Amino acid sequence: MKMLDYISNNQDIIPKLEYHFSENDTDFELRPYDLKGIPETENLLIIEPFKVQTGDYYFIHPIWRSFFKQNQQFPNTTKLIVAGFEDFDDPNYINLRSFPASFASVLENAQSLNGDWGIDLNKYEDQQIISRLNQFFKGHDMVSLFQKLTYLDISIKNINYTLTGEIDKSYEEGIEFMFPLSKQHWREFEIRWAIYQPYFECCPFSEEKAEMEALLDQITPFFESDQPSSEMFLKINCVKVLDEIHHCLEKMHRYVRPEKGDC
Amino acid sequence: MSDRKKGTAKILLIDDENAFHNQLRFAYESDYNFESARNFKLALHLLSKHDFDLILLDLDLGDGFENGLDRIPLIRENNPDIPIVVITNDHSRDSIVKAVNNGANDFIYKKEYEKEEWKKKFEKHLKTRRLEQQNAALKEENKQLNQKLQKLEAVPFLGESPKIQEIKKSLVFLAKESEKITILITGETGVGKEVAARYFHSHSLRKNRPFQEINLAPIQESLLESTLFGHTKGGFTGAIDNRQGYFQQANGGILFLDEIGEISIDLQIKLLRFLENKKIRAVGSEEDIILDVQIVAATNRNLEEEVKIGNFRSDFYQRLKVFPVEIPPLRERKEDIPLILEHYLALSSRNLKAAFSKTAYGKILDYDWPGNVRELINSINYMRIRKGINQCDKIDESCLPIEILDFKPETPNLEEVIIETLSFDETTALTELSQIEQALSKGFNRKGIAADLLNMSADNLRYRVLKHYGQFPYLLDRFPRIRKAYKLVINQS
Repeated sequence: MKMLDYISNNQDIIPKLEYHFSENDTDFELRPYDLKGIPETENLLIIEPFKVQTGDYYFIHPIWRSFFKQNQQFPNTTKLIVAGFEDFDDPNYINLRSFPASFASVLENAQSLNGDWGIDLNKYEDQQIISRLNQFFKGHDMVSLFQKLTYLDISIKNINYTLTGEIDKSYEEGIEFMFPLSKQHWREFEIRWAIYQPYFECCPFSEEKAEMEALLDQITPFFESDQPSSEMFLKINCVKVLDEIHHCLEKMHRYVRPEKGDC
Repeated sequence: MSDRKKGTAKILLIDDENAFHNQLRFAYESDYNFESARNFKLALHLLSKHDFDLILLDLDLGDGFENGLDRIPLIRENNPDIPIVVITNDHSRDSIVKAVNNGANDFIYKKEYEKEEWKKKFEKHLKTRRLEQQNAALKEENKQLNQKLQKLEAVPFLGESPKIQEIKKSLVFLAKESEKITILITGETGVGKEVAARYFHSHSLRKNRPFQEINLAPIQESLLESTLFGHTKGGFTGAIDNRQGYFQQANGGILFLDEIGEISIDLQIKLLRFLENKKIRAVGSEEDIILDVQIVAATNRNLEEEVKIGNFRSDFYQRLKVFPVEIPPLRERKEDIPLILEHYLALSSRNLKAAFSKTAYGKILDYDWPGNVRELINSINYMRIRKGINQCDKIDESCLPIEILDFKPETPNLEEVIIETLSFDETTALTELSQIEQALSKGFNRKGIAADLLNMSADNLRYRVLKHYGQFPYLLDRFPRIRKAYKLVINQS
């Protein structure tokens, strides 16, 4: 008996699938996929659309395909099967309204991660989780998340240079000059992160998400302070933390940038 | 706008983010002068008003990278030398390559801001800019020096006499008038035919192109053709490779053929061919080459006579003498001698006479100069050396070459005059007027110089002339220089 991991939070579908695989197609054992652990899997069934905390439904399989393809830990033989209620014609797609009797035959015909398949989601751009995540990075105000971070980066580095002596000004001058606008940018960044949290739940970002939260916990006291001292600045190691935030987001962004053949 | 701090580079930052301007100023204001432009229009305006040493250009001014890339050539159009460092967050190799192809010198990533690393990059380009500016300044200085040198060159075309002025005017006019005209310069040996040819070149439309000169006289007849037109390998015995001739080396410029009167008829035919259809053929070649060479030729022979006796082809002569220039011998323009002395002794006109004893100066002016300007220049070098050897304060008779020292100018034969029955006073007047006439002759008809030569003041000289004129006006009939200098009219009645 083979394991068939699945991703779904559709409480109507899951019991029906469980019944099917226990009664009708006993070659496979259904197992919920560990979204936090992201373990290795041979076969992954993603049931769409996925309902996020906001109550909206999204197609999520492209971000998973991108993630698996870019992560060497998952073998190329991993098969990703998408199940939904649309009439897509694709070897890796199952219409839930006519679920095949033999899942084995589906697997046999399905393409591997790098194979020649791609469900046409052009009509559903706003309903793709990747679009939401792109919006997270791109922003609505013509200033992308990375631009905001870059601004913060430069300001924090300049403040740091006042302490190392590379800029011939005092720390207090640095705070006076750089801090107010940095505080504002940080607030905007925090808000954006909070708003988009629901969209990360269904994505393979559990590790990065946890890392981000830890980093935010570290640095937030600095930005919440009205007049942070140089001791606080150095203790928190703001330069390093911001740098790590940047790297963390870049890791996520890697999967979010659209790739050919994904959608 | 801030005043430029002395010695600090001026950087124009073009970025739509206000915050970035503030951040860079905060970091670098002790190192550089910054000017800010938040949009491209303002940037172009600032560039038209100020000199910048470096431009930092954000590729995305809120309207996309492609527009940013297009801005680089617009900046370059009027600012070809200012280094441009583009600022971008786009890590794609393609964008950077495009930026550099469009004229950017370098790039920085905003998110990889490191103060010292960026400063190193700025300094690299500022240093290059400084070096380029220094180089340009040196080139300009060099150009000006070269221009000065041309004026002060070893053999400048010196002369303010009416004849030389006329020749210079003609040469300048011809030089600017046409690139195709052929010039024939004639005159005795040493008058300055080569100098005149170079003078022509320096004023011509071809002045920035080659000036090749060749003296045809000393070259063996058998080698002259290949020297002028080049040869191919094996073209004659001993021709071991292809060689360009003087014509090809002068292509685009001017070829000065000195001693044109010395060449064979055969070579005259070949040169005539060139003058007619601009073609030459290298020795041993079967192909003609078309060249663009302007010919200036020179000779000390009388080519008209040479044509008559059959040594020179008439058709070639006609072709050469499109515009003939005859440079007079030095003895016919002695008023140029002081100028030449001043130049080669590096003296001002005020100090010239003080550099010579009266006698030596007089002898130099008396001398006939059969070798013309060349002889004068050689004599100047001789006199300078002798002065040093003899440890004299000035150039005196002991410093003069023997031929100048011993030279006796022709003087009016006073004995013939005195045979006439004249009174003692008349004879005295005649003698004195004769000396004054000679002094005027030596002093280029200048009363002041004549007075100096006679060791008297100009007023005294005038007094003596007018006195004799008053007493014996008819005597002035023999002395045209005195009459002209003092505007004296002899009543014929």
